[in-house]
Amino acid sequence: MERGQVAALMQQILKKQGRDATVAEDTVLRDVGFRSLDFSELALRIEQETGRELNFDAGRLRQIRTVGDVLDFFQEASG
Amino acid sequence: MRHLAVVDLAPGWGRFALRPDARTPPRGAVAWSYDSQGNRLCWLADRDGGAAGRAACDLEWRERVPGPALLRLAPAGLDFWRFWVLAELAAKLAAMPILEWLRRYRCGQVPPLPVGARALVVPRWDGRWTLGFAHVVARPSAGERKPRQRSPWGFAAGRITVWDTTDAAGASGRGVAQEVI
Repeated sequence: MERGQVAALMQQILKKQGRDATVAEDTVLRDVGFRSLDFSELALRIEQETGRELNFDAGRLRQIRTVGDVLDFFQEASG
Repeated sequence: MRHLAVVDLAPGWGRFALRPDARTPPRGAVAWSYDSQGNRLCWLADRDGGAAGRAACDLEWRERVPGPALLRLAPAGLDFWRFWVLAELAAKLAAMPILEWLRRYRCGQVPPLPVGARALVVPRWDGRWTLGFAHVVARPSAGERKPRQRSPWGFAAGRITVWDTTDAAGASGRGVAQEVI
């Protein structure tokens, strides 16, 4: 999935929770209130959209800190 | 620092503190977690969690609306938030990112906790949160501990046990959690 599409889905999830959907890529996830539940919802939405299971390495998940990291991760995992 | 609540849990489980927007790790907490509103849950166990085994806690803001794909993960008949808190506890005890945990176990089942783990779930704290606390008891070698002997945390030896508070206790926002299972 394209980075812009991942960002759009992430914004939908943030907006649905009443949070600011326009955040900079270097924003730390905790500061924007994007937690593991939101992260998991985004993962499931991407799988739904692409019709494929995500392909990722668990070690890569541990390095995610910012909004940009999330976009990088899902762009790779859904590629 | 303002506390939303400092509450005694069931005997042997210690206390928890719920604080708004606190960033520094608390002294004496064996585990802590944040919700989407920036509130922090600290678990202040009676005993040293490091010595007794791994410990984890989780809180979820029940007013958040989970999407349909998330809702489908929970087994039929199980409250989604209770399912999710147990999943978070299981993943944390396994030192596994939640997405990795979901990849392995997403089959609509009650989240399996590690062997020797025990969990306490408060389904509706103050009507707004679901809270969970879990730990893995350090297991003594065979012969050191007899069946029904108390664990280092004060529990009898046995398989996984999930405790709940009653809704009434949770909704009151005060008091001691009660074992109902």
